[in-house]
Formats: sequence, C-alpha cells, structure tokens
Amino acid sequence: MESAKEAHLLVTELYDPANQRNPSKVNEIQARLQQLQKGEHGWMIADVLLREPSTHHRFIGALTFTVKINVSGKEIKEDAALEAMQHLVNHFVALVTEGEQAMVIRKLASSLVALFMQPATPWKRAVLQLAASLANGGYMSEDGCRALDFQNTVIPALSQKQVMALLFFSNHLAEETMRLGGDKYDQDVVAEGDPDIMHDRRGMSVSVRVAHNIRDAFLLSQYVLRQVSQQATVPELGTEAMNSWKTWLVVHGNHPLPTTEDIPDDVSHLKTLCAHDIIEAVRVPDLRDSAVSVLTSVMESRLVSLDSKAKTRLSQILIKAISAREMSDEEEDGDHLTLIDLLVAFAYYLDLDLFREHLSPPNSQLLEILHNVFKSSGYAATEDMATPRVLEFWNETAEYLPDKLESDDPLFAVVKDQLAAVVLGLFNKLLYPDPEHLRGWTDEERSEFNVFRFEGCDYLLSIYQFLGVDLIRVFQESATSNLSNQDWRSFETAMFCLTYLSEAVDENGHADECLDAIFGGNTLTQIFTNAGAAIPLKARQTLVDAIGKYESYFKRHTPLLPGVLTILFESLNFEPCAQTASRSIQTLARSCSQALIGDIPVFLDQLDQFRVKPTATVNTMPRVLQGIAAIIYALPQDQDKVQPLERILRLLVQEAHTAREEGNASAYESARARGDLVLSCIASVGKGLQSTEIELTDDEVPEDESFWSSGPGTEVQRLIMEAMRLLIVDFPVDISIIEAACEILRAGYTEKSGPFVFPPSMTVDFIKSFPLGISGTDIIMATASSFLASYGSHSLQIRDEAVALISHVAQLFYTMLETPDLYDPETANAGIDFLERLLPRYHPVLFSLTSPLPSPSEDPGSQRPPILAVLVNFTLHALSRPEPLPIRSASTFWANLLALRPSASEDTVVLQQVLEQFMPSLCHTLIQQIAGRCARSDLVSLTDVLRRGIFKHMTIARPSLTAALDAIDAHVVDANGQQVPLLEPKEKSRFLESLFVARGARQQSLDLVRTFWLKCRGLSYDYAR
Amino acid sequence: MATQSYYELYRGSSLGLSLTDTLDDLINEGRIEPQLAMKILSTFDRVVTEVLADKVRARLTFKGHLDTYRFCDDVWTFLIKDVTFKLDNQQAVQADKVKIVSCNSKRPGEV
Repeated sequence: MESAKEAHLLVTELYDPANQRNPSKVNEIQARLQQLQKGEHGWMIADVLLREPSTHHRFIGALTFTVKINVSGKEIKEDAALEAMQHLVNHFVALVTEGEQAMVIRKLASSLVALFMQPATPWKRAVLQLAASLANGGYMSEDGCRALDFQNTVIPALSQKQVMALLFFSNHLAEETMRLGGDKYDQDVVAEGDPDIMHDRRGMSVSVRVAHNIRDAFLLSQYVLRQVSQQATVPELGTEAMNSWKTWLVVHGNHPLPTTEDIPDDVSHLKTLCAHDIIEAVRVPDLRDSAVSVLTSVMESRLVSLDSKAKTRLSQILIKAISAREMSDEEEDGDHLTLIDLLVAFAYYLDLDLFREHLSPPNSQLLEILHNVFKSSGYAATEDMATPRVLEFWNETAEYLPDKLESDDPLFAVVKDQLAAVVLGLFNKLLYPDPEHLRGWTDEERSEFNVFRFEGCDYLLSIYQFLGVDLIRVFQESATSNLSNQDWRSFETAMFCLTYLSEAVDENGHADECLDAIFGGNTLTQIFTNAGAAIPLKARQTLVDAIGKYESYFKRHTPLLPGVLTILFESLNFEPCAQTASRSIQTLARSCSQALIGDIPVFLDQLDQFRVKPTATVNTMPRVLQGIAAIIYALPQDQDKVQPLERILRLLVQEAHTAREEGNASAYESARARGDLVLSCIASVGKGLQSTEIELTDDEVPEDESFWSSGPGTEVQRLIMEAMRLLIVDFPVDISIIEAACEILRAGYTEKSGPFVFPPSMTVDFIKSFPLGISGTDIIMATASSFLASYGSHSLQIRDEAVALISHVAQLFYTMLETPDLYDPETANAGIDFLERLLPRYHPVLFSLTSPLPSPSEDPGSQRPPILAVLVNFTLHALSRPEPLPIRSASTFWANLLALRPSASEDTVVLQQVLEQFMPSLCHTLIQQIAGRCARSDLVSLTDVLRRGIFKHMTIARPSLTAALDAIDAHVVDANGQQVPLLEPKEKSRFLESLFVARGARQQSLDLVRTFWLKCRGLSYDYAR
Repeated sequence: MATQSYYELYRGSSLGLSLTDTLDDLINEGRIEPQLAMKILSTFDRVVTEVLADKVRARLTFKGHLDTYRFCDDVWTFLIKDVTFKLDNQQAVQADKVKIVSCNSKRPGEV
C-alpha cells in the first residue's frame, strides 16, 4: 500500500500547476512513477489509481495497466492473463457506465488491446466479448458470448456511450495490429521459443485472433453508420465508426481470414455496405469532413472495391456538392478543397472507366468539373489550390496512357481529346501576374507559382507525344496573334510554353514551320528593338530564353541570326533580362559560330557598348565573351584570330590596371570585384577558344604550335599573362579571383596549341606563389593535378615542373609537421589529394625524391629529411588525426599506393622499401583509429586501406598488424568493479584471423571492423543499423 | 495513429553520417543512451523523407543513354551513360555514367 500511496502523491504532484513550469521536477516525478509502474506492485498501483475520484489519477491508473502489461507480458501465463482480462473488462464496463471521460476510456481501451496482444491471452472475439460485457454490465466469458447475435441483439442493447467506448477499443485494436504487423509479431514469439507460450497459444497466432474480429468490427461500424444516417445517434459516433472502418480495411488487407473457422464469409460485402453509408454521409454537414477524408484516403490507397451502385452514388453526390460550391461564388475554402481531393482520388480510382461513356452522366459531369477547375479565378498554387491537384491527375493520365491502351483502341482517342481540352484551360492558369499583382506576393508564393508553371509545362511535354506539332501550332498561333495585338501577358505565356516544348522539337525540326511563323520575317525584331522599354520585362525575358533554347533551329536557319541577336544584345540593357540574354548569346554563338564569323566586328562593337553598362557584371560579361570567343575560334586561320582577341584583351588589361589602382588606394572590395570580373572574362574567352568535337580533316593544315608562344600570336598570350600578373601578384586576392585564375590556366590544358597554352613553368610559379593556409587551396591543388594530368602520356617532358610541384607540397607538409599550430586541414586534404592523383603516372618522379627537402635558410647544420619521407610521414600524420577530409584523402592515397604495380623494376624496389619502412606505422595508426578512436563515418575509408594491405601485402602486413593490436592496452571496469582489459588476446587474434580470412572482401572486412570498433567503444549492439 | 516506417537510406548521406558520428560521440561521453540515439535516427529518417517530399522545389532535367535497368524487390535501378544534367539556373553538369536507385516512397504494405 505504501507504493500506492506514493504513486497517488506523485500523480497529484505531476498535475499540480505549481510544478508545470519546473521541467526537472516533472522529469523527476515521471522517472519515479515509471519505476513504480514497472515494479512488482505495478498491478496493485494501477488498480488503486483507477478507483480514485480524480480523472488524472484514473488516467494514470489506466496507463499503469498498459505499462505493466508491456513490461511483464512475457511472464503472463494463460490463467493470469484471463484473470487480468476479467479485471480490466470489469473496470472498463464500470467506468463507461459511470460516464467516464474519453481520455480515460481510450487509455483503458489501449490497456485491453495491450493485453490482447500478449500471446498467452486466451481471447479471440474481443469486440464481441467486450460488447457483451458492456451490455451485461460486467464481464462475460467467451463461452457465454458464443450464442449471442452480435448484430441484432448485442449492439442494439448498447447505449451511445458504450458504443463509443467499444469503437475506441475496436479502432485501437486495429491500429495496434497495423503497427506491429502480424507476421513480425509471430516471428518474434516463435524466435523466443518459450514452450509454455507456444502451448498457451494453442497454435493460434495473434494475427489469426485479430482476424476473428474483422467481421465484428465491420458490423459495428455498419450499425453505427446506419444509426447516424437515420440521425438516431450523435455525429461523433459516425466519425469514430468511419475511422474504425478505414483502419480495419488495412487489417483485412494484411490478415486473410482463417478459412477453417466458422466465420461467415460476408466480410467483403460488409466492407462495401459501410462504404455506401459513408458515401451518404458526405451529404450530412456534420459528417462531411470525416466522410470525405476517409473516402479520399481509402481510394488513394485502393483499400476498398466500390460496386457500381456506390460509384454512381458517389459521382452524384460529388457533382452536386462541387457544383453547389461553384454556384455559391464563395471564396475557395478548405471544404471545397477536400471535395476536390476526393474528386481527384475518385478519378484516379475510376481510371480509364472515367472516360468510358464520356458523353453520358455521370462521367460527362465529372469530366466537366475536372476541366472547369482550370476556369476558376485566382492564380494557381497561391490563390487557387485546386488546379495543381487536378493538373496532377491529368498529368498522370497522360504519362501512363501508352502503358494502358494501344493507340488504335477507340478509347485512346477519347482520352486524347480530353487531354487536349485541358490545354485550353491550362493556358489561362499559366498567365504570369502583372507586376502590380506580383508585388503583393511573398517569395514563397512566387516560387510556388513558378513551380506550378513548370508542372503545367511538364504536362505539355507529356501530351506532345499524342498531339504532336498540333500542340506547337496552338502556342505559335497564340504567340503571333498576341504579338500583333501586343497582348504581352498572353504572348509571354505562349512563348513560355514553346520554350519548354523546345526539348521535343528543337533538334528534330518537326515544328520548324511553326517557328518560322514567329521568328521568320522582321516583325519580332522590329517590335522588340523599337518598342524598347514599352515591352514588359517578363515578356522580353521569356523571349530571350526561348531564343537560346531553339539553338538547333537557328543553326538550321542562320539568316535569322542577325535579327534575334539584335534582340538579345538589346535585352542586355535590361537588368532582369541581361542574364538570360547573355546565356542565349553564348548558346547561339557556340552553336552557330561558323555562320557568324563575318559578324565579329559587329559583336565587338556591341561588346564595347555593353561593357560600360551597369548590367555588365560577372554574371553576364563572361558569357557574352565566351560566345564571341567561340565565333573567333571558328575563323579558319590563326592569323585572323589575333586582332579580335587583342582588342578584347587590351580592354581587359586596362580594367586590370584600374583594379590594381583601386587596390593600391585601399578600395579592396571594388578592386576584388573588378579583378574577379576581368579574370572571369579571360577564363571565359579561354573556354570559348577550346576545341570542339570537330576533328581535323586531311585537307586542313595542322596547327602551328609555336604561333601563340613565339609567333604572331605572342602579344595575345602576353596580354593574358599581364592581366594575371596584375591581379595575382601583390593584389588582394580572394577565392573568386583564385578560382578564375585557375580556370584561365586550365583552359589551355586540353589544347594542343592556342593563346591559353602557357609554358609549364607558369603553372608552377602560379601555384608556388600562394602561401600556406590560403582559402582556395583545394582549387589551386586541383589545378596542379589537372596540369600534371594534361601531360600524363608524356610526363617526362615536365619532369622538372613535377618535381617542383611535389617539393612545394612537401615544404607545406613539413611546415605543418614542424609547427602543429599551422596545421590546416584544407591544405592537408588538398596536398594529399594531389599526391594521390599523381600516383598512377608520376610515381617514378615521386619515388626518385630521396634527397633531403631543401632548407630555405641554407644552413648546413639543419638538414631536413628526404622529400619522399616527409610526404609519406605527413599522410600518416593526417591519418592519425580526427579531421575527416584528410583522413579520407590519406586513406585513398594509401589504398592506391598499396595497390600500385610499377612497370619499372627500380620503382618496384623503391615501393617495396617504402612499404617495409612505413607498414608498422601505417598499421599502428589504422588499428588505433579503428579501436574506437575514429568516427564511425571514417571506418569505410580506413577499412579500404586495411583490406588492401592484407590482400596485396599479406607478408609484411601480418606482423605489423599483430604488433599494433598487441599495443592496444585499454581497460574497462567489469560488473564487479574490477579493471579488466577491453580486449582479450584471443579476441585480438580472432579479429586479425577473420580479417585475413576475408582476403580483402569489402563488405566482410567492413562488418568485422565495425564490430571491432563497437566493441572498443563499449557498445554491445549497433543502434544505427 | 499507426506508425509508418521510413527508409534508412538517408543515413548514408553526409548529413546522416555526421548525425550518426555526433550521436556516437554523445554516447561515448555518456550523455545519451543508445536507445535515444536510435529514436533520433528514426526521427531523422522520417523528417528527411518528409522534407524532401514537401519542401524541396529545386528541379533538374537530364538526358543520357540508358545502358541498363532493372526492377527488383520494389527498387528500380538505372545505369545511364553520357548524362547531361540541366539545373534550375540553366547550369549544365556532365557525367560519364550515373546510377539512379529509386525506391517507392511508400514501403510495401503501407497505407
């Protein structure tokens, strides 16, 4: 009784308003209460609390029953379970009769379900037995209930409160069954193999016992729904009955009824009868929300099969309800949306049946509603939420139509016509709001509307496969007529649709005739160049985007290029259009470069005008220049390229001088922005001059490789180098400038000759000019790797440069090893990554670096270690530290080094020496890390090194790994409080032998290492798997 | 309501790995129990799935040559070669080969 008193006090304190703002006190109370609930007096405490006058106490009493059943479930035998069941049922009946609050009844219902779920519970038709007990006013045995007529005698005898309580129980039983999953639960029990439990279950699993209740649960729902439809009971009961029906549908789907038992096989019929009643409930205002929600959910999940009567009735009710909403001219509300959701779910459910007899009601009316949604007022996805949902239905219908019907099926044509009709309604919904309306929208609303527009265009692409060029013609005619009328919003929408449809027609030319009608002739160019600012920016923006998207069309129609390029350059003047226009210029210039070489002077004049405008930014200028450079590249003779390139580069060098002056005047921000712009422009020129896929033919003269380095093109290269020097040396560089400079260097790595193919020393000097720890080291070292890779097939040509770069990295590593405070994970990662990438081609160079690392002080007394040793030691150092990226790059380096197979014998010898020298340190570092020190996410990369070492170099790896494992000396405290070794020698040797048995197999090795790591961390199981 | 189970595949993402590493540290320091970590990871599975479904609006399109495809255990796998991705900002990204593994957003048997 002491425990019960304590529990009483604890519950009183738990609900005491004075403690509500004291979470630590509440936690303390809850912890103690849980202790009592789980303890030996748990049953008694539950019983006492359930008889208390306060609702809070009774609630916790019911909760205590659940806790105790779950904690002690495995210990309960059949007799005890039966006793507990009688006890609980009596409590339940008494509380319901006394008019207990719903929260306590629900909780007690969940206790009963928890008891039902125990394998030892001899309970089969729980819904019937509980109903009979409620009607009886106390517990009734299963045998006593067997002869009762549940449907006609038991349920009608129950009061509304009793029915509600029974529904709580029924619903909870179904939910709990769904949560556990019948098969899983049975497997768990069988796996435990408790012979008593197996005996007590008498061969009947929980899932089979649940199945015995399905029919009773549906009968209960049906009875309540009938009562509700006759207004003979309260709507709350109807809602509960509908939810119960839905949940039991899932259970029925997952638990087939036992065929050997004496259960009438009318469950499917009962399911449908309930569906009829719920469909009727859509008409009842108090039940509409629940009915619509439940029907939508079961149709989306295809949990129920509706007969033709139910389909017809649902169609009629939906048509009437939605039409009434439309007629009422009210603002869109949640009620309307839920009806639309049900309509869409029903349309999915009907599938192709919706299109059969499409001219007769009710299908014709349903289709009409599905089309009329597009005529509703408001912008989709922001003001009108129904349209996106209906569009999704049409989109899926279009996407799956070819899988469902052959094109010669008569129904195919019907569906196709319906899909085509959607386009007309959709067009109005795609109209972009005018600026004034747009100003009232939040960023999120703009984004939602734009997403809807793209979804609308996805639909157009889906139906293009059925409608073909006719679809393009619709938008072309709209575009041309609206252009004439200067209806810019409609013009913009038509062009927007055409832009998206370019994916389907640009390359194949199927719609060239339609496109001619828009882009042919001078109308478009004249309007867009003469009207200027009078044209809304959105329309201009969409047009310039469309021009870029139809690059193949313009490649086939080169005479149209001057006109559209005029529009594009004109559009560069408008800030919202400049970025799109520059992108389209770049695209067209690249695609049609051959056709545009005669216009280079015009382009350069346009560039002169553009570069001084505020819209000439780092987002636009480089693109325009890349386009112009692509045209220059198309000139047949190098000699012809010199003059235009010089003209561009002189302008850029002039800007570089200005940036430098700004830097000297401490205007760093401005200097950096200008410097970034200049270098980005030069890098884009480099990209524009990169060779395309066009191969040299026999007629063409091979390029003169010295033309740009020492011939007539020297000045071009000198200008590039000067701009770089001005903006790198003693300039306030930032990561954008470094990135742009690296792009300039990389532009020449893929070329045989050209103004961007610099002497190899330039890359080396550039990389060496940056100090340790500068932001952007990864980009710089990636450039070094690209540089070495570009000479991969003839690496000896740049041996000195490769040595210089590797030595530079070694200097950085040495500094970080000697001065730990200077350790920079980014530099470490980038440097090791550089080493790893040079291994395949440049390992002979790396292995030859056995001379001491040069000392800057020239002090003969301070001789440094060999370069190779510095590099290898640093990778081991990175491997032993906690930073994840250096661990990963060092792991990759070692994994590749261990797998390396040099072609030259002298390299093999050096590699063997390196491995023999460093294997003990490597193994020590690896074992220390996987013995619980490293993060779990590092295990994969560290295991890669381990398994490569074991598989490729077993002989030298074994002693090193044995020694490394022996060196683990961690201790833990055992249950007796004694210090014991974390790992026994046997465990260590078993781990090692298992790794060797795995012979480098990836998953097997990883599983072994993960288990070892968990053990070293003191975890008995892996919570994350 | 019934508890829905979610795929654990996002635990292999950089976010998931970082979260697991952090949970490991917290367990190692005795600040949380593994059971709580397990619960946190379950929540992570759910939230990532929901956020990706509801909040992510970024779009991309891609074109390539479908090399291999298979459908096994409700999982589609596509191996695509010479792929060009076009992102929202019109940026294009090239890849020699891409493997797409796609699972049903609802696990088998779920409502």
